[in-house]
Amino acid sequence: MIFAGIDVGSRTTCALLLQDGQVLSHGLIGTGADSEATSRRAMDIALAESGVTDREVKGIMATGYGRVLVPFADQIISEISCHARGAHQLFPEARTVLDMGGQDCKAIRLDGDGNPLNFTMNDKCAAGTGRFLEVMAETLRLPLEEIGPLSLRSTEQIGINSFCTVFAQSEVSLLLRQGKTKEDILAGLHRALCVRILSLLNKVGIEEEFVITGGIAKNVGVVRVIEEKLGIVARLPRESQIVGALGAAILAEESR
Amino acid sequence: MEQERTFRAGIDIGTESVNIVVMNDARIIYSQTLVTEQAGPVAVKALLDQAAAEMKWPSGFVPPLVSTGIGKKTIPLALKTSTDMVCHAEGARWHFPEARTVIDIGASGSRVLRLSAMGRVEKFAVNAKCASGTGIYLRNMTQILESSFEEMSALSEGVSESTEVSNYCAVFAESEVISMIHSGESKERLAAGVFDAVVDRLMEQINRVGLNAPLVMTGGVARNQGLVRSLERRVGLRAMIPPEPEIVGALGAALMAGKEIEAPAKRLEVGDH
Repeated sequence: MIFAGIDVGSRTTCALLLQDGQVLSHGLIGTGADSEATSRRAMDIALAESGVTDREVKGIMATGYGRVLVPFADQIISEISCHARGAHQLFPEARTVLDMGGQDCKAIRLDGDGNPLNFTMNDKCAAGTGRFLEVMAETLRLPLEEIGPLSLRSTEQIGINSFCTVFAQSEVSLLLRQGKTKEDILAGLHRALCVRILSLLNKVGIEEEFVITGGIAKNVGVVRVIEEKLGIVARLPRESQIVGALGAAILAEESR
Repeated sequence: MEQERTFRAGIDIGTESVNIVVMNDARIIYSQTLVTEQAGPVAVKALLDQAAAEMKWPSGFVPPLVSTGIGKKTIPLALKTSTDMVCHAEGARWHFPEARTVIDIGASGSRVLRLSAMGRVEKFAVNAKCASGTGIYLRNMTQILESSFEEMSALSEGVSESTEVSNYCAVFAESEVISMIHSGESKERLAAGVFDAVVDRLMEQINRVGLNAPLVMTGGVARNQGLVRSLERRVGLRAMIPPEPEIVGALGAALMAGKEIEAPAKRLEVGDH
């Protein structure tokens, strides 16, 4: 039997099809102004890729910030449960999950069955979310994908003093005018971001295995700093942005 | 020249603008604002040169000078520095001696000061960490609403029910307003909603400090009628606005320079808080 999970995030939407615990296909696209149309489009991509028809899908679970805007979903559930369940599926020993997306950041502790035990979340302040890095990449005129690798080439330690994304943006402009390199500035920004991430993680407590999901897992610079600060190696999904949808699909199947 | 002996100057180096006030005999005889991205010392030199040219100062003359604002320590010419708090309190009281509460909204922060009847700062609250509700927040919103500050004030006038901007964070609030514009929300109600959001942030500080009448608003943001209206409605008080609210910090610094010359023994008064 085939089940679907749809994770409508603030920036990215993923639809994923699951058959007997195996991922058949997924569609991953940017969330447009119209969340309804976006979720339909992501679903159509996933269906087309595996040649599955709508009628073969026996249950659809929606999650994420825009979960109520998926008219064809049968059920909705919080993304905390989905990320925990999805991370557990990929890494059965996972006990702590950090999920950072475009507009929020969550630290989740889970039990051996992939159920969330507790969690903390920041979705109030852009500092400490993926949005912080998006704004900085824009300020530095760099594609988001490049900032991680670039930051690893830093040679000089620069501290970023501003907490607020808006103020940090001015600080970055000033550092550029002072002739600091983008590599060094990026490394400083990643360290600043990690301070916020670690305070979130410390609130739930960190236990291995430690899994990072969401767009942030694709930023090798941030992952490296987190690993250094925690002194542990993070587990990274091959495709970090589908974990919520994977969890949703599994929960759709289990709820039958 | 003889008359320049009684000149005093104050300079306020903010994140977006630098202001100078020159006083003589307890009168403001010159003031100027420079909106600039230049470093403090460069901007200050430009302002002093301009003042010297306009007031025909003898070459090399600089009046006794006190600096304040975020860049106050970058001015070697200054006799001394003074805090924003003291300068805004002094400057506000120069215009309105009976002032008991001063609200200063700058480009990158805001402060609420409660003054005693004698003008001492009794209690204060400062936001300097978060852009929400600051001048930069407002400026970014004017860009999103494709209006000047004046146009935004005019837009909000007469709006009885504003659109709530629910995000606290300046970055998230911008996205929220953009998406509301896309979904057809009226600019008038949005402009009013943005002013209300700034007042929401101020209320956090006002609630910590308490609010006594008379209330004075300082800083360039106080020129914004829409914001003033929103604040007045919320607190149920009239706000008194100096004719040039952006120079109040520099005015306070010039007043401190006067005190410094007249009573050098009273140095403790202008120490860093």
